[in-house]
Amino acid sequence: MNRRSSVLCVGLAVAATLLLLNVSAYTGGWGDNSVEYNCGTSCHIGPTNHGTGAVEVSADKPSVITGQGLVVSVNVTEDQLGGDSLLGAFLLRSATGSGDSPTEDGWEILQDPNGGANNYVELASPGPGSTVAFRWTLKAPATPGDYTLLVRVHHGSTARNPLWEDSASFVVTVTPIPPGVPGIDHAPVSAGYVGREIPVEAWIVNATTGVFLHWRKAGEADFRSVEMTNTSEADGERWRYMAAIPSPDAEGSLEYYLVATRDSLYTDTPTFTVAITPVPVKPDVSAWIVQIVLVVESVAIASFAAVRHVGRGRPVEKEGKADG
Amino acid sequence: MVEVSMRAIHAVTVEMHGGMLTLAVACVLIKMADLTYQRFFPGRVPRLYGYFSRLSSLAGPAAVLAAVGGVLGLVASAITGYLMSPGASLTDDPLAMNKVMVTVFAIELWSIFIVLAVRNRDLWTVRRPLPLFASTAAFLGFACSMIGGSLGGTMAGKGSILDPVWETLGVDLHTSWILTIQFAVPVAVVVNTAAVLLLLRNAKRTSAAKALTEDWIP
Repeated sequence: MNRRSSVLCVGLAVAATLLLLNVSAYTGGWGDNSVEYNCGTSCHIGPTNHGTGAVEVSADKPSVITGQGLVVSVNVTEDQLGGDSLLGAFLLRSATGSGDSPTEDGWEILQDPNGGANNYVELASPGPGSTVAFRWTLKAPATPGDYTLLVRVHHGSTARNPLWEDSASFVVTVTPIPPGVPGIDHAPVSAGYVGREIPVEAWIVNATTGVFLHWRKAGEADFRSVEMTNTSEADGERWRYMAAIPSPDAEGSLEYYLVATRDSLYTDTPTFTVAITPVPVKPDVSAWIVQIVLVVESVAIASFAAVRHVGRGRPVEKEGKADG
Repeated sequence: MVEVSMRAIHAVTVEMHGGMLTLAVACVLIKMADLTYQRFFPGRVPRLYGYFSRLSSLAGPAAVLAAVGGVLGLVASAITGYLMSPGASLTDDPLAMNKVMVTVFAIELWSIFIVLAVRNRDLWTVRRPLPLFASTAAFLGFACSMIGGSLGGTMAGKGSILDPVWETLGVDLHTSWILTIQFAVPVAVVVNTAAVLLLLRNAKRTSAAKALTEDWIP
């Protein structure tokens, strides 16, 4: 290879590398996940530029009892966004970068802003200057104490710079459960389907005067309520209660919460959101497999036939020899 | 020890096959431009063509190398993508099924390109339409991988640069692209019959040419 070719080859390699590097991971986002901050975008690399947006965070109560629900609301207003307008928010217990998920302190994420259970979620912003609301529902740790929480936001910019901001950190006090107060252990329901009732299950401790499910359509003023049924098959420390939200008749979202009572004492859960979508039509898997096999086989045999057909043509010099 | 999530590995493999296959298809484009020049504009702008021919001489091997890397990346991203999602959800979500389908087609088409390029070292110099056939496989393979990427972006909730195209064409990514058996089977029968007829015709011509040669030898 002569010198010019070498230079051209190196130039091509550099251009290809630059093209690959230009594929931005920051502004594209990496999807919702349960991650430490340092691995939220790419291990070892994080945005180094501080943005100018505002991140406000608040909790629905300053203190909770062990195992009780807590809602953390975050409002993010950014004046700079990347091309896809994505905002990624981490719910953290510290700004150290590693071992910083609230779950390390014993918090359980019951529901994240997208209906999952992740400490990092992405939401699309309507545009620069708009406020985007994130809402996490947490279950308090089993050990009483003071726990710090904060939110860190990642986003892009028109200059393709990855930017970040932190909220102010805040402390939530977790106190021991008072004697006799009922406890609720509930895995929230995040998805439901049009025309199908939504079963709700909870494991209850110390409730002797009823457990209630309160629900409403999003936007309605009042909750409707139904008493949950104790379906435990045997006595034990925890009782299984069941109820169902009636079949929704349209797409949208529902909200619900549970209340467990013991005379004048009671415990309630935070309000959970259920996204209502049409019943998905299950694709025909066997037809899908048959189609893939048919197409692959057809392309293969057609290619073989075509190559056999056109492959009879050989380089020009060979045909020239035949002529001679 | 830091644990790297499957999602991150999947993202790396996606970037790998995206970059590699783009490089491969760019090299195929260069070779096709070279062949077009030689066929229709031979001898025009010789100095400019001198530079271009050097680029073209590198593009052939680079296309094969990049295609091999791209196919490996495609297979790796399919595996990491499968491990990232629970198995059942792949066949519950029409979007995921469409993605699996176009990825399989992309792997097959790029493999055809690689086989043709490796088996025919003179792929870009033969007179017959083999180069056209190989580049068609590469372009179709690239189109399939591009559609797969668009579906992946939609699955991740981030949208795709092709969204305006899907909107214009009225394509719903969330419905399964499964043909009915009544349509798929006749298509398969027609393609396979045509292929067999082509092979038979080819074999007949070859044997006729062989017989002619044997008769001619004194």
